[in-house]
Amino acid sequence: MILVNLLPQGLRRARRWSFAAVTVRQGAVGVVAALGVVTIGLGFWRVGLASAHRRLDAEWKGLQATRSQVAEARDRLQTLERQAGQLTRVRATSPQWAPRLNLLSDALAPGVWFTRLTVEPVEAKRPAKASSKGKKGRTPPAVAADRRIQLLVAGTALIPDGGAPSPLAALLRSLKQQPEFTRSFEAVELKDVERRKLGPLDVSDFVLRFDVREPSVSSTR
Amino acid sequence: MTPAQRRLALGCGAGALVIGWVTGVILPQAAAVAALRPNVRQLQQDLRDLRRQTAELPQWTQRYEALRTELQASPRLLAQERLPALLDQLAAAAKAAGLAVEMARPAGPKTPSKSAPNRGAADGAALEYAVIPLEILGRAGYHDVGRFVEALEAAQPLCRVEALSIEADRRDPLHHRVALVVRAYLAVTPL
Repeated sequence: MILVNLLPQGLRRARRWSFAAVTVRQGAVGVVAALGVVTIGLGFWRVGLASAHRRLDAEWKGLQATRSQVAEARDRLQTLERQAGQLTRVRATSPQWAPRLNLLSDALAPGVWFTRLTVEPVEAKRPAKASSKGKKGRTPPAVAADRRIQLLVAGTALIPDGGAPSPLAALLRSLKQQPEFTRSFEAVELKDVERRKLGPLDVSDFVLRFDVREPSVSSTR
Repeated sequence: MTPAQRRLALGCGAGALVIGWVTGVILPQAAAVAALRPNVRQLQQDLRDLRRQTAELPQWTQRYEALRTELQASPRLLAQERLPALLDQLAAAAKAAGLAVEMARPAGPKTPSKSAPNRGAADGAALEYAVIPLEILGRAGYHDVGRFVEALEAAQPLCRVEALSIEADRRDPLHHRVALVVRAYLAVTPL
């Protein structure tokens, strides 16, 4: 059978390229050409990069004065911003004593008077340690402790005749009824109650101990 | 040499040439490009950042001046120089509140340092402000003390009451002996 391709030359499909048809010489020329292109491309790229590096480096070194000026301004601003943040946190965590003094005076009942009032910080109260099981030899992270401050109020209260209510009890009741009380104090303890005579009157001297917790600066972040 | 041996020798020679070219020319070029590229990128980034920061410089200066005024910041070395003004300020606040100051005494400036971080620097960062403890002794009524403490707690620079003692005086029931330990926190500038 004789096959005759009647399609015109322009419409005929091109013959598919075959690897088997490539001669050793063609292959060698192709490899050498590819390596040449890669070498030349890398060379241009390297020269371009080296030139850009030189230019940028010179520009960077030329801006030394601006750089130090910018760094100095940034450092100064950062220092003040850090201080502002720290001072704001100190202000936020500092216990406010004026409202507490107001609270005490508002709660004062007739027949009770204070003789001495002292505010003093006591030892740091460390937060509860986490379980150390399986963590032998590991140093626990440094944690700022909340500070406990004591407000000691020494005073004297009349002891009423008969079954009249005690002014000291009225003071404590009045204190605890104030909504601000729980926000202002952690605990209140009546201690050192001592009965004595004051002229014709029976009085009792007492000391009230109020605990105030000052949160550490870090715990407010 | 047979044709097969010649082809083998030629093939080995061509392969060795190609390997030599790749290792001797192409790989060093590629290594040089790889070393230069990050440097160039870093320099470009640094220059972009510097240009941006230079453009922001006036805003930084403005913000710095505003903060300095707001915090009443003064140079660290001059912190102690502010003592008289601070004492005057406290005396004026005391007078306005009705507290008669008998003595106001600084206990010396105390600036926390990195070697001895102050309370509250839990993360190890040193506090950078100056702290000046002050002791104030005076006589006042209970409510006068309350007013003075309120004024202190709202004062600028920041003052906090560290310790307070109000003791009744039998000879003068309206005016008690008052002792306060106050810490004034002063913002300081690096210069």
